[in-house]
Amino acid sequence: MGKFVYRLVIASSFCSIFGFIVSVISILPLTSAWSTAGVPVSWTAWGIRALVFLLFAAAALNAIAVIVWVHFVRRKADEEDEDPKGVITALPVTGSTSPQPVALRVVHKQLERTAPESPWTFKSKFRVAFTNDTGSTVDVLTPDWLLAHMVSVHSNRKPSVRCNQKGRAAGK
Amino acid sequence: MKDWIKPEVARLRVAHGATFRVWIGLNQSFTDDDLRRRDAQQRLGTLLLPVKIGSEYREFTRQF
Repeated sequence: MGKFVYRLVIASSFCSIFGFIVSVISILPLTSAWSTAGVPVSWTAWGIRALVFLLFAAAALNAIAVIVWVHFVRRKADEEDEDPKGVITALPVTGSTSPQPVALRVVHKQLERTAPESPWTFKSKFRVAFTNDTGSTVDVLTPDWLLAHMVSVHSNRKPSVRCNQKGRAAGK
Repeated sequence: MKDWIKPEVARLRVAHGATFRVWIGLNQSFTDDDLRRRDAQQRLGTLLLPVKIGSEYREFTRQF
């Protein structure tokens, strides 16, 4: 769920709660304590205000339920779907992969030769850009062979995977 | 070089039609000429990338 949807849901929920408070305030003069203060109230006005009160009460209850759902259920599920930052996930890939080919199209490839900035970086690199042609969103994950290599050699490095603008070949 | 040292991610979500880049460090014992020759002959190696589509794990394999 996107941040905009979260904000929209939370904002509408707070509006409902605010409406409930207003309706409570509006119905206060109808109570016996206020009525005896000399404020005459017709049955029609009483009925309308009571109806508004009930509507906003239902909306407020619904809003509270939505807030609880967004904050404690949906967001938690979203967080579980994402990897924590800085943690490299081991993958259950070997032996459990589908034999179907994955439609990642090579749009650019290039050999790179640069001076290594540290003893742990390669001076020779191969850069490849892929476009996702699978028809759906995919998660590109850390290869397990790279994970093993990084644990033994590059303990503070992560694989170089980065997303570019939609429809734009890398390096252009 | 500038791109190489920027923060990198362990997992990348790629929407349909979007493009992403991968860098692979090559064996440093090979000379430039060796690597160019292997690149031309598609003998640099095989890239294996695990991907998750929906709830299914798959492996992208490609010879370069």
